[in-house]
Amino acid sequence: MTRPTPLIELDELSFERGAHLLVQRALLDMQPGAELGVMGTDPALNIHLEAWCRTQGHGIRLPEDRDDPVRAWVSRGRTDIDRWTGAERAGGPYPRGIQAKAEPHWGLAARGALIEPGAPDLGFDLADRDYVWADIAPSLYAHAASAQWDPETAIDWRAEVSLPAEIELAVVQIMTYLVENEQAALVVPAKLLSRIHPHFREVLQLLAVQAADEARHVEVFTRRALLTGGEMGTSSVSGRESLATLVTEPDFSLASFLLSVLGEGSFLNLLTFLDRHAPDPITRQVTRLARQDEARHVAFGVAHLQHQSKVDPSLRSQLRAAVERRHQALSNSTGLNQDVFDALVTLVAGEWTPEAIGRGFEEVQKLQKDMDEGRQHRLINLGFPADEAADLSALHTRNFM
Amino acid sequence: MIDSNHLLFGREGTLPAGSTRMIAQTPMFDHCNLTLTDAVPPDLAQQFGDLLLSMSYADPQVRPLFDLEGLTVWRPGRTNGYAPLETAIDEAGFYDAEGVITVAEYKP
Repeated sequence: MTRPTPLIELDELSFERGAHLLVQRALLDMQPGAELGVMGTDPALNIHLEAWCRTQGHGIRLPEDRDDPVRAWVSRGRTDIDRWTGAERAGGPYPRGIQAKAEPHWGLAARGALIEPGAPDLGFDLADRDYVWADIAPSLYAHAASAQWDPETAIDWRAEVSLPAEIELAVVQIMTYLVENEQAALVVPAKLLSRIHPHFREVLQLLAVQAADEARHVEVFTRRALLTGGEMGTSSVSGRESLATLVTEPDFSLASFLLSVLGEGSFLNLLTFLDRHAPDPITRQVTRLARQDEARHVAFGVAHLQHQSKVDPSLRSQLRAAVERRHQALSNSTGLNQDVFDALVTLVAGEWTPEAIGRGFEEVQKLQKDMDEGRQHRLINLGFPADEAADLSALHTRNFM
Repeated sequence: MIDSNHLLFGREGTLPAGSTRMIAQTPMFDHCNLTLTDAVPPDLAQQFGDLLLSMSYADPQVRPLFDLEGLTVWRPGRTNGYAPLETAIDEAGFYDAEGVITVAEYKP
């Protein structure tokens, strides 16, 4: 029994208006070499059909009888088949479909897409699952996306701020310092995310939101600093030297460790401190909102390194070496801007009496102790023995971040 | 005008679809032809031709090149089909006896 000859009726539809879609669909399930009869009334049908067939690798033959209702016979080619022979899926769309190694030629394709072979390598050098992935990334991203706040409305910018001049100057100095540090915290994930293979998209998404978080922090801290019409505070060489060692760290895990686990971890204590001692509601609001975001950044940093330490037993010695290297690089640097330290003391003191200043000094010392304990705690979470955690925490930059 | 340009112009709207009518059509001719002069050593020309003919659309490395040219395969060269085009060009005096374009304002 022979199969009926396939025909396609185009009526008046021309190739200038999409007729190829109907022909293409009719050819799809046919074997190469099989013929499809094309019918239609567009005067230019045969001319356009022939031009289209050439580009698609199909053959064409005109009927011998001019009264034949079939205007042309298309002989199915195989270029579409050739194009997709050897195609592969780039893993699966869900996190369970993530592959151990993302192929360079997958490039920017969606995870789970059917990939035509070929195309250039875009040079994403962070392409190993164990190197960039943490199982918590998708849920942290979802949480981060839902926790985005609008700087315009989340903060009551009309709240009254009327501080003694020197307390206001202290706030401005602290805000200036925060902006500088948050700019480092913006640049570091942004640099890293541009190197991560998009196959691990949840990590990119998380780092993108992290950078967006820092963008908002930079905005609100700047806005608070300028609220009363003054100038920004000072930026010391030592502070910028310390941050330079973060920005130039090329290794993803080490950068994440130094920035998120140690630096932003210490900032959690600092922002809690500023929330508690804020002399005005706006300073309190901006530091509290920033702290919520920073907690997420720390959580990802810790989870990522916990995941990696399971598959790489040498990780902890690399982390240790990174801390020691950074300490060595900063051995001739004083660390925290003295103006910042003094501003923190002044903020707590609130007045210029020996008793108040003494109390402020003690509180800032206690802050540094809290930061140290927090760092040790997180280092122990990463598997460091307590004594080693204490040693490493002590080597952390005096600039806090 | 060649057929694929007419289709392209219609699709892009350069010529509104259906607004033109074909009044005559020549037999098929090859719009693109790779021509070598006598100066090319024959074995080199042969090797070059063999290389082109060996290119396969199934090869992901060369497929983007085919796509760029709007080709799916190379065919052996042929010169048939050009006669009506040649006659039209001669009748219009487009080239002079030395092969120089005679139309002053023509800018390819």
